[in-house]
Amino acid sequence: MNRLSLSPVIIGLSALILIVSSFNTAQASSPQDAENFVQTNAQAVISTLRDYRSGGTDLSAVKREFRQKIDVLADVDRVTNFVLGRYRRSADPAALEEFRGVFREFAINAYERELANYGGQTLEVTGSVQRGEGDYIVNSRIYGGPEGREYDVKWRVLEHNGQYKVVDAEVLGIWLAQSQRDQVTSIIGDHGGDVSAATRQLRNRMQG
Amino acid sequence: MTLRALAKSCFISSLGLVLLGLSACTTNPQSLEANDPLEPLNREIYGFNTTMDEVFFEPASKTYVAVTPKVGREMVGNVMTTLNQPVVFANTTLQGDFEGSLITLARFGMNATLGVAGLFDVATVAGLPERHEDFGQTLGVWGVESGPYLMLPVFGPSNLRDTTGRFADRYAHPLKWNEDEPASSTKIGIRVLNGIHQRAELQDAIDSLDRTAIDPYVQLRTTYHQRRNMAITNGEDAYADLPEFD
Repeated sequence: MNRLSLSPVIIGLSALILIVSSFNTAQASSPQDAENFVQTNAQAVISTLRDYRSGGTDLSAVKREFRQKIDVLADVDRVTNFVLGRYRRSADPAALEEFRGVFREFAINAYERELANYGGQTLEVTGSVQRGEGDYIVNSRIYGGPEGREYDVKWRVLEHNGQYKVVDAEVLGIWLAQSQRDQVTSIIGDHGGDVSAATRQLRNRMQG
Repeated sequence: MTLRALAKSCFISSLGLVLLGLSACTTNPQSLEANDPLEPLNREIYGFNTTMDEVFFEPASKTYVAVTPKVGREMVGNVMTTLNQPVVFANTTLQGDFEGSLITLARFGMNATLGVAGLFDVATVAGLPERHEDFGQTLGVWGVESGPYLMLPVFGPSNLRDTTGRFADRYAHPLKWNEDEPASSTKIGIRVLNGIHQRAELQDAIDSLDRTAIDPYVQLRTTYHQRRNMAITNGEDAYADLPEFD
């Protein structure tokens, strides 16, 4: 059985885990749960990208699978709200809606390109720090690539109603969502609070 | 050179950069919020640096990687790191990190001798980890604010504090110890090789910037800010200032 044919099983298991965890809201979250969440779901994303990196034959299927797994791993909608900063509350609703759609596409593409570098490598969770109630930093290292390099990646994991989601990741010392917020709010601010300026820039970057 | 003369030299150099930028100041609230009042000038310099990188530095670093085996590049990195240990030693001492100073001194001695003039990093194998300290960080530890963000021609992102530190660190580096000696081709060669090696080491970060940036200039500014804050605090309380996700 090849890896792709396993994907419905993996997705089914992931969904089952999420359903079970949602019934378990009375139980307090723990760093160990956050670590297990990252170990399972971030590794699943990286494993999916093995074919993406190697230029496998069915890239569209790989991309579909990647997007499903990203939605299990990360709270993209929450990240989208975060990167808008203070403009989320004052912007035109139609412009906001358009931004959300385009940013989601941009972010997933960016994660895809970024994580494709680690495609097929091994992720090992090395520990975690609890910042507050339901707020964790999970440390990991990724290794096993052809150049023999090791990368430290940190994952900001938030727990809500028993569900864990990644909202930010630190790669090469940079928190991606924080950096994206600085860029988005800078563009909107430079255009007098016009959110559609950021939407245009995102489209330009995706086309470029 | 005395400490007073050194400080004067650094101050005059930094002041010159600020005066140069005053004519290009912006009142844009976004730029001021990001501590980047010289953003229009900085963006021009960023454009210049990007062109220089595309034309000279990236091809040079890719050629260097192509013709130098990995073990050779590691040796180059080890030698450059060993040469920089006096700078690190001076700064760990100025920061009151005497344990760091002892480790750095031991690293220097061990790698310069057992490591065959720094070619091999035997100190790390022996459990003496490398430290990264410079005078910009020392000023930060002393409580000096970063000052405005600066994009330096060729050297890239910085700020007033770190630019001052960059000038000061030159005087602790072995290549600068004998200032009466004219710049030899060997010294120039070492500096050029170091620059190409550093550029090659940054390739992953630059590729990542290209893949994920919405506005590459702002992404680089944010990246620099995050990395320098992390370096100054040595990662302590690294998560205290993380933002809330509403």
